[in-house]
Amino acid sequence: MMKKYICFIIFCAILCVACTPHPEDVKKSEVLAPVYPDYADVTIPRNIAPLNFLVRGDVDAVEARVECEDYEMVAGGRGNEICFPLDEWRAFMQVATGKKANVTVTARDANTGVWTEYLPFSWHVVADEVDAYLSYRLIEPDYEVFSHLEIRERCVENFEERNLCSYKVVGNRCMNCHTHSVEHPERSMMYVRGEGGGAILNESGVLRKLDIQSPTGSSVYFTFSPSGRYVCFSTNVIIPAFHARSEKRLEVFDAVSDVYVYDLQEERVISSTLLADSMAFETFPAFSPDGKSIYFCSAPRVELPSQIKSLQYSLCRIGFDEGTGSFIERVDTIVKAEGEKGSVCHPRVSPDGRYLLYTVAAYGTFPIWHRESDQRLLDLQTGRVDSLAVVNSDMSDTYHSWSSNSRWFVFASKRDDGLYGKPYFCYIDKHGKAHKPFCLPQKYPSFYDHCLKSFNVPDLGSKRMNFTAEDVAAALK
Amino acid sequence: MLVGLWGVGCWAFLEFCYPYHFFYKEQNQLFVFTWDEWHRYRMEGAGWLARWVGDFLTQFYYYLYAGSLLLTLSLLLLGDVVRRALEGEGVCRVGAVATGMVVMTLEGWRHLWYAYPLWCTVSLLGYALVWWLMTLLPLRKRWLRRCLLPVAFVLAYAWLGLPERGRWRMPEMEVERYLALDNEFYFGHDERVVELATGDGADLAVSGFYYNLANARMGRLPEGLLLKRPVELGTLWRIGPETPVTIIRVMNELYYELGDMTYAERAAMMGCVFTRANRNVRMVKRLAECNLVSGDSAAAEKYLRLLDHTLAYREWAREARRNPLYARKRAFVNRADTLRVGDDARTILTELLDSNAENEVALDYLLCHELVQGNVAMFKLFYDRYCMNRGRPRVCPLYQQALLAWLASNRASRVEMLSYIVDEQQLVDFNAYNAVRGTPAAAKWKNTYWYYFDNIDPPQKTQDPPQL
Repeated sequence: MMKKYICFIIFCAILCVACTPHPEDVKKSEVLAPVYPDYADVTIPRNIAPLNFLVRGDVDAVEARVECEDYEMVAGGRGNEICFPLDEWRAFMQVATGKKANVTVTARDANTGVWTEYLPFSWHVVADEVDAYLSYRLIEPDYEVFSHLEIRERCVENFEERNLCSYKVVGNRCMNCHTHSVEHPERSMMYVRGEGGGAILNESGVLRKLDIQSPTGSSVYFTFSPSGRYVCFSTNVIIPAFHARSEKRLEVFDAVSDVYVYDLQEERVISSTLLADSMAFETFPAFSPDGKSIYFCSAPRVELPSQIKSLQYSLCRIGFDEGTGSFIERVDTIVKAEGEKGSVCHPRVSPDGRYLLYTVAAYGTFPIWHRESDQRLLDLQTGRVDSLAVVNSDMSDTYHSWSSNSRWFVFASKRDDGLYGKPYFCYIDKHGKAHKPFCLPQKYPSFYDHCLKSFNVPDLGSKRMNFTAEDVAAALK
Repeated sequence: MLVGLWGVGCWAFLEFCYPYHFFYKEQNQLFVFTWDEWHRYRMEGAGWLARWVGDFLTQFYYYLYAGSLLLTLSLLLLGDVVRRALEGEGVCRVGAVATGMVVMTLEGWRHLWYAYPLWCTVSLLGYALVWWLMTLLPLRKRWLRRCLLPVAFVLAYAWLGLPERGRWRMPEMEVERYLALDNEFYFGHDERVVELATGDGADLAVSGFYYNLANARMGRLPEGLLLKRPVELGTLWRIGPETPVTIIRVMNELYYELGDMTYAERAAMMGCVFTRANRNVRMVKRLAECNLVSGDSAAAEKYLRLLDHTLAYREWAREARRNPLYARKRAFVNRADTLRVGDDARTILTELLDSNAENEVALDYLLCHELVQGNVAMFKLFYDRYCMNRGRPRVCPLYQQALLAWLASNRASRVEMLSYIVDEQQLVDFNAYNAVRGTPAAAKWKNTYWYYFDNIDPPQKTQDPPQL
């Protein structure tokens, strides 16, 4: 009986192998393969999960050959998807680290049966690793409403994903902005809104609910100080509005916004009149890695929504003394809105303190819905600003987060369809040069085609968070 | 014989009395037939296989007669497997058949609730199958099998999950009539919508809305406006986080017909958000249409690509890519570069008309919106701006009556009067109405705007349609 089973299994295996199509009578093409996601000529870290992709068009069989020196990895088969086995991929990445791998894609036309070999493209594999964990919120691209929200953590070295917070356990309520502390990888914070909600602070898996209240409301955008004792945050009274023109869609602006610091140890709010000016909007605060200053964005108050196009934020900086927990009462303007001819949003300083990444939109404070919004890289040593032409797209590119080694950053880009944000990773080499970014790989490359959620506020962390969604629910009680 | 009769009766009831429930259930999901979707179901945890099979079958509710047939067959199968399992346990045939029929009936009853999904029946069927298969095991000792059965159920739980409790309730005929209106409008059967809204579904809160929208799509909004009371245009409804889903869905239809793709897309997106698993194939179709109309091909392709991988809508997606209707409709989209905090109907409609004077649906909605609220002065202002000043007078009895009322009350000169009033019969009728105005005899003129203005309070938002 057992022999029969074994024979049957062997027969099936032979049948599968025999049925796997292989390229023959191949026609050469002078164009790059229409692969999705666009992984052509990208720079990738050696610890990234397999860059599975698909070939667009009427294709019924594909093959990809990835070559680096004498090592070759082949994947493909029926359909239009290329998926690399994880073990084989890891072995290949060991070999390819610090080198360039060539990828040759061959695809069979479903109608004519003709195989076409496209121009090869390359993958530059670098030894600098990206932080292994990425958290994000999955939400429909309409920030006015929500249902069934989840904040997830994905290991970018493989395809493991889990919930950090889920509607299944905390109820159908808003949750947002899970942010890691770069200096203390086991520390993070997120918000769970609604009745009984608050800021959930995670310290090595121990969760604590904070009620961070300021004179102008509860906190929204925040980052940790390097010591971990302080959190700088903004309070924003957010107003959603809709553009009449269908291509512009949603706009969000603040009726009020100020910046404060919260002392996690003494549980008190520290304020400055310079950051809570009734004649200005202050938002997007971010500590510098040395903890001596806070970067934020500030715009003179205008009448809204009628003067929305005049709402232009500049990048500013104020000193902060972590020892005494007090502001140094002087504000410097680092990047003027007039100079950028746009509104500066979302500053983030690299953990080594060398670069400051920010977004520029034509106006306002919600770049995720501004197609023109692009990222800029400011070299804090030289003052030079890189327009990141190789990184930005003609759709929204924003909400970035640095990897702890300052060599990578992740950002949300809507470059595919203008609607759904996806995490893209960009490499900054030791010379400060930005390389072409790549999209977070998925186990099934058609995942993004079928996903109806945006990856919102992606944030990198070097360690797996040691709490679960159930722990968050318990902390809320 | 009895089971056969039960099956025929069940099928006939579902097919002839309950067909629109199937369309609703089918539209309320999005089944993409790909490996990554299979994986997504697997990641959902316990019951993933039952959900996958249930949703797979539900997609065929799209086809006429398929819903009633599939559900009847599923119920018959469930009853039969329960019967076999009971017989395997040593229950007599009559008892097993009777129990099987009770199970079928109770399960079928739960399907009368619009939100009860097929996967629950599949799950029950799965457990019944496990039970039956256990009775087929060649175990000599019955106690051993009885011990193994709970273990088998626990193992099967990973695939079959726990079916929802559902609700046993009497047939929801009001919901069925609402779904009939909604779906006939969706299918483009405007005459049928008017027929339902004035007949079988006349008492439904939402019937006036569909009646007017179907009339507007046929270019007859003012002609039919006062023939169905209360007058409901939908222009007083608002969309926000607290808005019922049924209103969101009807507003999506209204904005799409008007040409406001920002709000049509927003309503469709919200329709998706508030659907089980946040996926609604009808809303995904609408999202594709909105972007095809506004010319955002990348966004449209996102949704069309999704539909390409469905069994029921792939052909629609292929056709939509080359359907010239969307390009024609593009001429009517809003071109104003403004930012709206609210959804004030007057602002939206005037912006649409400023963008394209030929948008007759928007014109009729704007003029009728003012008339049903008794704002004859605003009606006249907009009539002048969008009809007279553009040399495009819109002549129909309703507008003529309203103009006549305004001109008379403002003591307009005969020359001015004649520049607006081209239907002389209206002048005759107006005089006749004024002669009996305020008396019971005025009821003869109940379908005129004069009577409406004198006797009916400006409408407030009527009661909501059935909450789904």
